[in-house]
Amino acid sequence: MSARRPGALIRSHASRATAAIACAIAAAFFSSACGPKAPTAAPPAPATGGDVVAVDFDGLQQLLASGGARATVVNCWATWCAPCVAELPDLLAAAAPWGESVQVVLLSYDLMVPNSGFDRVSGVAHVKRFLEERKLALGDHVRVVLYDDAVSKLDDRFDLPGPIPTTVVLDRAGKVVGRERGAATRARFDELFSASAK
Amino acid sequence: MHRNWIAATLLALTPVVALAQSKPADPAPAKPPQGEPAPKPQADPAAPKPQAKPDEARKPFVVGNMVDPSLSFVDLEGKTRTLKEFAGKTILLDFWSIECPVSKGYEARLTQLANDYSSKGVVFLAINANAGEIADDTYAKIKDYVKKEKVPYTILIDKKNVVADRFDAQTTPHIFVIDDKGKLRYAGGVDDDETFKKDAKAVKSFVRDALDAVLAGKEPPQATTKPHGCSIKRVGAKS
Repeated sequence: MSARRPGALIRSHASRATAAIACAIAAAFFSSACGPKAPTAAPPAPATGGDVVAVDFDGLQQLLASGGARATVVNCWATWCAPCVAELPDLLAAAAPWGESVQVVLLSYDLMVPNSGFDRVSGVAHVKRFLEERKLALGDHVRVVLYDDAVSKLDDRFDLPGPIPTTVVLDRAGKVVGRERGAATRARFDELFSASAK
Repeated sequence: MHRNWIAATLLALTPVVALAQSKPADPAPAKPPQGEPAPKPQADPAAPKPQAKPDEARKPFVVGNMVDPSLSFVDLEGKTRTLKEFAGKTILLDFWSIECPVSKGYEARLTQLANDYSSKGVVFLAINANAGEIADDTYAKIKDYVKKEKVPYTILIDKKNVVADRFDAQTTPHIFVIDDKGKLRYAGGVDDDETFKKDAKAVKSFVRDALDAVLAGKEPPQATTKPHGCSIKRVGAKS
C-alpha cells in the first residue's frame, strides 16, 4: 500500500487542461502532488478521455468546486457493482448532449472495499483499465473519481441511501436537486440532466 | 310432435332473449345517481373476519417490528428451515454473498463476531439471496466457498427473495439483529470501517454494539445504519 496522503490526487492520464485542474486541486493540499516525484502519467487512453483520480472527501469537495458554476451529476458506482456498470452507457449517452454545461462525476467505490488490495495508484489503474476494456467514451466533461475516505461523509453530504448505484444531481450551488436510488434508465437519466438545468 | 319440439325450443330460449334484452344498451354509469347513495353491502355475520391485508403480510419489517417466525429458507442440503427453529434466541441475519468483494471482505470480521457471540447464545445465519449465486440447486460453489473460507455460520438460501424482500435487504452485507422475543432490533451495516484501514480500536462496530445491548436487554445505541456493499440481485431481475 502506498502512503495515503489526505487530499492527494493520483493522476492516471489527462489532457493538459485537466492535468492543470488536478494539479491545482492537489496543490491546495500538497504542492508536491504533481511535482517531479509524482507517478509518471500513463499514456493517454482514447477509450476514456477523462481524468481518473483518487481523492479523499475534502479532495472531492475541491474537485466539485473546480467545475465552476456548473451543475453536476454524481453517479456512485464501482467496477464490482453489476447494475452500476450496466447503467453507465445510458448515463454517458444522456450526458453527451449537455456537453460541458453539466459536470459529470463517476464516483467510484472501488477503494471502499475491505482489504481491496488496491492503493490509490493501483486502484486508479484498475478503474482506468476497466473503462478502457469496455470502450466507454467519457468525454472531457466526465471525470472519474475514486473515493478514498469514510463513506459516511458521502452519505451525509449527498444524503445517500448506502447501496449503489445512486445518482445525485447538484445545482450550481452544490445543492442536491435530484436523485435516483438504484439503477436508472436512459429516460430517467435524461430527466436528471434536465433537472440539473433548472 | 315436430311443432311441439319447436314450441319447446322457443320456450326454452325465451329467458335467454329476455336476459339479453334487459342488458342496457349503454354501460351503467360508474357513479351512482346523485341523491341515491349506493346501498352499503350488508355485513354477513357468518362470513369469516377479514385477515390482515395481503400487502401487510409483504410489508418490510422495520426495527421494532416482530419478525414473522414462519419465514423459511433452504439450507445447503436443500432442507427447509424456518426462523421458528431458533425461537428464544438472539439471531443475527447477514445477507451474504460469495462473489461480492465487500461481503467477502467482511467475512473475517463476521467470523470473529460469530466466534465472540455464539458462546453467548447468538445464532449467526448467513442468507444468500443473490439470483446468480443460488440458481444452481446443488449450491456447489457456495459449499466450496464455505469449506475454503471455513465459514462458521449457518448458510441459508432465500430462493425466491421472500426473506430479502421482507427485511428490505439491499446489500451484501446487510445485517439484521432479532432479539430473543422475535423483535427486530437492528438493521444496517457491520461497522464504520468499510476499507479496514482504521486502527482496530477506532472502529465503531454497529453490530457488536447492537448485540451487546440486546443481550443486556437494552436498546441498541444505533438501531439503524446505512448498509454499504453490493446490491442484492433479485431473482428475476433484468440486471
